[in-house]
Amino acid sequence: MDNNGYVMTGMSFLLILPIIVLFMVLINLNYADTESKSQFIQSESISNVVHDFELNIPCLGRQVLKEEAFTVVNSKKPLFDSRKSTRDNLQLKIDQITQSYNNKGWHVNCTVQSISESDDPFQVEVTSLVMVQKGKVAHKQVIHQKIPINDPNDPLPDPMPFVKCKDYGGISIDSSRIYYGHSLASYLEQRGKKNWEIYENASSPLFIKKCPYDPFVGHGVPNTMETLKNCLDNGFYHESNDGACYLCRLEGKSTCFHQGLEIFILPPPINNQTNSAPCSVDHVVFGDDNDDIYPGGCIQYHQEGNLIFLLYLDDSHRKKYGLPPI
Amino acid sequence: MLGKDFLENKGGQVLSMDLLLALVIISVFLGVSANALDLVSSKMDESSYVYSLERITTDNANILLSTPGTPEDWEEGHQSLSMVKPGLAEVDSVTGTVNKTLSMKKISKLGENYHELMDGKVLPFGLNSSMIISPRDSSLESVTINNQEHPEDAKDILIINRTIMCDYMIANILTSIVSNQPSGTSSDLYKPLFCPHCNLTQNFKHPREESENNKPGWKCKPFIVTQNDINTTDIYIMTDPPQIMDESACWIIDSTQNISDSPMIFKSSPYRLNEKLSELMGDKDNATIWVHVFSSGNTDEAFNVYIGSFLKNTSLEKVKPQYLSPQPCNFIFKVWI
Repeated sequence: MDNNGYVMTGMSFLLILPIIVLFMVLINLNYADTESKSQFIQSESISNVVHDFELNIPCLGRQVLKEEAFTVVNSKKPLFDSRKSTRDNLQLKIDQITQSYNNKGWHVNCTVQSISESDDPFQVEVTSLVMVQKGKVAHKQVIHQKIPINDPNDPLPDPMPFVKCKDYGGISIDSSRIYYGHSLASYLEQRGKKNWEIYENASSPLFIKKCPYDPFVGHGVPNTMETLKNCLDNGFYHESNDGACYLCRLEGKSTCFHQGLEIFILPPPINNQTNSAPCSVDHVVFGDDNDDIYPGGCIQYHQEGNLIFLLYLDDSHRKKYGLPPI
Repeated sequence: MLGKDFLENKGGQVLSMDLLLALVIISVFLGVSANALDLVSSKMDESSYVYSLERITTDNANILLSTPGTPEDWEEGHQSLSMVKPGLAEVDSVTGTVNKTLSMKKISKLGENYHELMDGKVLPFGLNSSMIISPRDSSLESVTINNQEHPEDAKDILIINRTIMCDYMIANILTSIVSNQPSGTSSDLYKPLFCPHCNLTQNFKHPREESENNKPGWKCKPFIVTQNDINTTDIYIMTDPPQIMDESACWIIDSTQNISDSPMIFKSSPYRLNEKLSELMGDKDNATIWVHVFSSGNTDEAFNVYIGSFLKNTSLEKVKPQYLSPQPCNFIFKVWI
């Protein structure tokens, strides 16, 4: 050994080397574990963000539909393209949520891809794409959801009659019914329909409510018409192949190719019976073409003193609701 | 350099002592280092094992709780269990989205085939586990999916405790009449339904209850019942709380075809409706039935009414409104080796 002590230094280094390696392995292990835990937390928070959108989209979608419906009701101007308009308005609301996430350091993007009618006319379908990224973890998900339009606690109004009667005089709303005054009679008169005056001061429900009397043939049982009367009192809407879906109703259409809805428009009670008048179903009364408005035979569903409560229905609607044929 | 100095050194003795001393020190160093190395590496093994055990258990418990499994309806038994990866989350039948609620059907199926579905699929082979779902409401029954006590000499034990919602799925709600207006209800737009009694006279008439003015009256709601419901389930009417203070409270079940004026008094235990409903339905496949509830309108005596269909022969102790909706529960998953 020389006086410079190189041997001992070399030996010491060799002795310390495994300890250094061990420390490095330990640190690496700890880092990997922390990394995995942090990724897990990030992944968890990302799924929470996606879940937040999943919860928010139907609520906001409903809110947009309601705002649009009341805009049409108040302005009496139909939406040009209800699907696009609903999508754009929903996107604006969702962007506010996205913005608040992005301000907190997230990379969130939610695009409403489409708003469309559903197989069930009491629902509207929404498809959206949610992309969330935080750090190295990213998630992309397409969400298909259905927005119910018949929530009894917060119902949506039917905007179609307001658009149809815009040029024929006023429509008034009282509580939960639409009162047509002279407008509907005038609408039918201008189309040259017989017995249009039956619909002077007619009324129909304002809000969409689903009929519980399903199957519909039960409306005719018992033949004393209690079921039909209760359905008319409550203003229940029925599923229909001919009636317009809710999105088309926002465009002021009474019929469309989608699975839709129909409702009875009730003439006021009268003293003397008229046997035939335009059929009391909304997609017939508000038919887009003149030929779409066809007559129906009268059905008495109630009487109070001299006042007779009548409904006019053609044979196919009578069959649908289990009512006696003409 | 070391070799040359060592060979050329003539003194030898002192150097030998130095070398001996150095060797002693080196031996001590080596010994201590080897011991430390052994200690640290065994600690590392242990900690990495515990971490990986924890990670495997936590991750798989999360997957179990947040996914419906593969295939989504594995609990129906359409596929052999060897092809199934279990998950307990319920899938919304209408929207098709996965809820943050556990399905009791899936839980029961997992309990019946616990080891077949867990070993090698959720947990690595060789690990033992127990799984219990304990409801927050102590009046509800705990669900033991696998009850196995861990031995006293177990090397490592991991316990995962999560709060989850659990759908007991022994009952379906047909309708409910609640005393308070539901949250989110727009008071301007919400209008109660007209019941078939609204056009009738005398005792048959049902004036509406006005709880805001403390005025007594009726609350009425329709619901649909099928012959299948009557044949395969027990349908009960019940109140929450079970013992109501409103002495004037009563109820009627009828339909537009069989309007009734025979009110019944609420009892503290649920009342079975199958016979009454069967009478109202006759031979029809399904019918719309109305439930009418009379109350004093006094908010201090307010109560909720539920009509629910329970699995046939469900014991009366289990016929409670709590079983009609998902309940908060603790999911306790214990893993040991």
